[in-house]
Amino acid sequence: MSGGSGMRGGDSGSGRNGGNVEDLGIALSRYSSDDVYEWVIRASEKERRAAFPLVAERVKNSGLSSWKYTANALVLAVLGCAPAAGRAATCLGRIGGVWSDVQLEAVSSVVAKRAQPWLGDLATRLAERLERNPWRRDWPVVRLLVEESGITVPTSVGFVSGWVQFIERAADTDRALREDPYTATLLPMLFEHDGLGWHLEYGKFAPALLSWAAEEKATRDLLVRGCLSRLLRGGSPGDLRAYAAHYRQLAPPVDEIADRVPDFLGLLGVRLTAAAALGQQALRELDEAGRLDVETVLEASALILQRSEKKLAKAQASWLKRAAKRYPERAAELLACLEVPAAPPPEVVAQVAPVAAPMPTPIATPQELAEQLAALIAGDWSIATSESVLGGLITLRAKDNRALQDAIAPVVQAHWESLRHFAVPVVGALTAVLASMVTVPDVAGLLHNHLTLLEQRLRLREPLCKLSSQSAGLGRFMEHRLAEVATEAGRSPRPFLMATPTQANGHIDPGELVRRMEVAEAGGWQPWTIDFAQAILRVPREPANAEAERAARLHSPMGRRLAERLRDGHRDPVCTTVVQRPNTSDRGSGWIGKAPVWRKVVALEPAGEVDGFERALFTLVQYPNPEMTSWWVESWAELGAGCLPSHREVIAARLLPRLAAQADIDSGAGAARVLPLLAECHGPVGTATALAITYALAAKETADRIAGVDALLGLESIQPAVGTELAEAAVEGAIVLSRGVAALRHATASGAVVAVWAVCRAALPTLLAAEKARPGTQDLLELSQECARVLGVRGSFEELERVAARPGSSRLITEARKLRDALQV
Amino acid sequence: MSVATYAYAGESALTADGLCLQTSGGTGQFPRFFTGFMTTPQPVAAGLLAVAEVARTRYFQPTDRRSLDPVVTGSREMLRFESFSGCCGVYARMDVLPAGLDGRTPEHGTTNVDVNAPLQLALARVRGMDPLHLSVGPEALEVSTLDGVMVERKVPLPTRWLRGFAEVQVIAAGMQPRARVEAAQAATVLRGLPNDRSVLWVVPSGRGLRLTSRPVPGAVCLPGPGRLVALRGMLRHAATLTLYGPPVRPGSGPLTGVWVLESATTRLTLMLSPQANRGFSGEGAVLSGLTGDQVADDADLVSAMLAWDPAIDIGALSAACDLPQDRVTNALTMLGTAGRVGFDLSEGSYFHRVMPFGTDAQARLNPRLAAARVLVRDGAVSVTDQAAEVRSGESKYSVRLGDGGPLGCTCLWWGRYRGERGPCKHQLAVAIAIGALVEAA
Repeated sequence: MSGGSGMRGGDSGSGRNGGNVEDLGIALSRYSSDDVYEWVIRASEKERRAAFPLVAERVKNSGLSSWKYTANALVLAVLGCAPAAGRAATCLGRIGGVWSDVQLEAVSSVVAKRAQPWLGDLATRLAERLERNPWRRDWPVVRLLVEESGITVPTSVGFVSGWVQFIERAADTDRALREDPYTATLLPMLFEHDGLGWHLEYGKFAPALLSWAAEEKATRDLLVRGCLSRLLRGGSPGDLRAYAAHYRQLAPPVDEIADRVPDFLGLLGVRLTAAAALGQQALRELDEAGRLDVETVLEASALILQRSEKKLAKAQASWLKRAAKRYPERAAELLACLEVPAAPPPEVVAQVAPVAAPMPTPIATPQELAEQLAALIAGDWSIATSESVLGGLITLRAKDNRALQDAIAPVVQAHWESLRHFAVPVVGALTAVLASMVTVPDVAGLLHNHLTLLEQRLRLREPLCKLSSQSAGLGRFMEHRLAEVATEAGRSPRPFLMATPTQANGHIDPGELVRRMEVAEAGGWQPWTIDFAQAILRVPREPANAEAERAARLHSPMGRRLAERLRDGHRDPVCTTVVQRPNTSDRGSGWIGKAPVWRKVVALEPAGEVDGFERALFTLVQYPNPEMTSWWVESWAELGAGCLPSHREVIAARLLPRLAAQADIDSGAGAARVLPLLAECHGPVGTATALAITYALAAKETADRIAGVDALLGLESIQPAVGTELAEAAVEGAIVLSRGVAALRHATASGAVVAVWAVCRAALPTLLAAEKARPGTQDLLELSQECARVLGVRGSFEELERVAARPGSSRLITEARKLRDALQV
Repeated sequence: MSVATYAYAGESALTADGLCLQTSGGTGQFPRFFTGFMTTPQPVAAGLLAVAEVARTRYFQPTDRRSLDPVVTGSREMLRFESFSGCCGVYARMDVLPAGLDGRTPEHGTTNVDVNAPLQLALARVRGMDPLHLSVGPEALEVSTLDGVMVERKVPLPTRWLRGFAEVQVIAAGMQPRARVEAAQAATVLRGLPNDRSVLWVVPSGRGLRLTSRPVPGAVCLPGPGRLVALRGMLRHAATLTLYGPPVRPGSGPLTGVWVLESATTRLTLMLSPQANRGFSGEGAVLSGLTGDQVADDADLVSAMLAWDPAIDIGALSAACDLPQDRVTNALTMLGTAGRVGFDLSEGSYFHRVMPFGTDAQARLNPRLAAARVLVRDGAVSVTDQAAEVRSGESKYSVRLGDGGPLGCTCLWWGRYRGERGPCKHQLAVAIAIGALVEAA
């Protein structure tokens, strides 16, 4: 391809011997830098400029083939032919690859020969564009242009970075650093720009700086000032850490930092802990060398003790105690700093039980349905949207099938790509539903293939089979329902669905359900099987005597089953706790990561005789080894919960492996988002719910922990059980206890003192009885003590007494004593 | 893309004589907005640092692009320093309240202000409680003795940045205060926030605040808590924290949230876009405000009447223009879309502020609106009495009509956001076609 364009370039060129464009084209095709150089030197300025379009085209087309050995020829050609700085810069920017083969002497003679007035402009533009990454190695070329043009040294971030790397590559880095003419201008810039910290962490540059600083005070001053300025000005923590570390390595003597007290005081307010620690340490050194007045010590203390880091507070306490000895006349004042309470005691705020929101008004028009359907296809699989659409499809189809088809056919057509490339079975089932309802030219064949496939799977009961083996697959029940709609809507149409909920959590008002059944009986029809199965699973647990009486008058088979459910209520599955430990061979070999050391989950088994659907939903097998999958789609979790709004323990049990993985192997995120829904659902709560909240509180992501707190506060009765499970999982080493403590601390600060105390009180016996205290136990004791004082609870317990009675003054023992005292007042 | 040219008479500096901020453009070459004393230099310094931090940060996809300088608006009694992050997702404003200033404001208007790196450093070192001299803009004498412009910089000015800046004012106007806590409680919450991009919600709980995972009524969205870092420096000086947000419905997607730290003399406002990767420029609140010919005319009239007041008095404007108050409010919204007024949440009022950037209206045009115009031009819109149909490429979308305008669409974009980011291009096209939409001048 490039050969052809070369020919064209040749035709349009000047055609004379000296600067035949064709020759340049051939030289470029061979990437022969010598020939390009010869051509440029021999050609006239007019010929060079005339050849630029050819060069530009070659650069553009060099694309992927521009490896290491092509840069030289192209760079020479561009510099040799470009008519102006802007175009030269654009063209050079397009030359990929590594520039390390560019011959600087050749570049130098080319630009010298041409002596273009825009060379300085070009150098400036290139310096601005230089990147920080080291692989391109174009810096030496830019430097050469800067020198040839005589402009002032550029100070862009890329130029500084390139310079550092150039110095590092020198045979003698120490000497290069001290003797390079750019050092005076560019070294200070290392502390001005963002994103250059890594030069102080890796490579030979920082050691060279340190050895120079050790010898020369002026350099040391420059670096000390630079590091402190950089830290004071703020930036990304990763970047700043490098400057803090560099300062520590510089270790300037006390004499040289005495006049920097305002800087160090400023550092005490900087977000980065390392920076504040640096300021604190420097001030303490100055104080201990007698170079600080008491006022400054007091000011520094106030600033440090405002911060949350325990480490800094501890260091400050020890500094203040030493200072109190040194200034006996001010001792009281100094020690008083330490007594300032860190935060006001938490207040007790009553928690409001969450209430399920009602479903949106049913869809009334085909236009509205088309819009909601688009939202569903766009990914809104919330209960509200998916159930509204499903219900709307059935009711509107019964009213005016033609109008429905006219409204949704364009939607299916427009979003066919989203429907076709589904990655999840539920979307596939939705596609089948749509296929059964509309005829879309172009896509009709595909839609119907899909429908046939689904019918086959439905016959085989495939979606249901998977329910018992896959823990988080409750959404599969929705897939099953959709499949039923797809196959039955045409064959035996119904005027409405029984299972459309009246609450956004999936519940159906019993009165409404009885009414629907009465309409069915009056019309002489029975609901579809799966639709009915879902409908009766959505009956709330609140007593509904009036409705049950009304239902007793129903006479059809399904009517009688509904009456029975309203009279007798739901039957709960049997839950069995299973402790999983990995096979020794598994640990560390899984592609998701290490297997957890210990995991507690819950297996389900139906109690007594139940129908096929409930049997599938209430069966969950748990194996002795932990499940390691991490495939997770958040919106289907809500959909799954909506299938069983009166069986929250089942929802929790099915979520457990995902939730546990977020806490014990830090795999995945977002699974806890659905937990707050449990508080709105009905049904008994037990080990599965407690474990679900426990794992959520110890999850890696803060958002999951906050969802865990939401669920904990909404489910008062589960709080002690969460404490027990939290302690057991921590003692087994499965979870990071301090994450849980952080979540509980946040809950306390917002007033949920009663709930947090309930958790702590239940957790402490196990934690304190552990042979070796788990990290975080101390913090939990501290938190318990705060809650106990606020609530005024009494009554110590054996495990606490035993730890408190131990000799010593470790934090565990001190905190235990404080709690014991609080409980004995 | 246009270019912002900053030409300052010198570098802003903090010296023994006080803080001297240099200005560029707007109402003059180097306008002078204030000379006098800051009664509380520490919170002002912390606030300026926060504004400068937002100006030079990209909270999403950090790159090396040069950042834009903050702007300062001088009005009769106060100074407002504003900036907008490079990612267009965070807006910051620090108001120095009348109690914080002791001096005079020779001019009113808006200009760029230089907050350079050495100055930021000096501001971080400000200590002590004594009033400090402040001048915003050089003295005329100073300028004449200098050889004209000393510091000149050119920075590319992305149009999305300009659009986002305007969008912020319109979004703010639809917000209400949702929670107010004391500084101690604010500190507890801010300390416990994750430094990431997750979407959380905040609800008042007793004297404090509680984070929650779900959009409950009365909550304020906290999208990308990591973006609140600029508040930290101010926390020490603040007395209260107030949270503002739009009304929340259950199941809502992420929304804009505003955090305001207030001391006796300053107010620092931080506004976060609904997601870290969503700039304000794409929020489309501006597009919802475009209605009717009459509003455009009213906007022209109101604009002519605006004085450089700290707060725009809707009652007074209404009397001066002889317009009912709701029409004045609509006109102000429209001026907001053109970046000609700002909105002060704490006072619940607009303030006059004309951005010191020269850009033509075409550059400011919202891409969604431009796309809608193309649809109309190509005759893709057909309207019947109940619904409208828009042909876009291979597909047809139907737009639901009601209340004299479009209410919804069957495209995926609308399905995804459902009004949280304004109307989609199909609805805009229908609105143009039926004459329900006229753009701001």
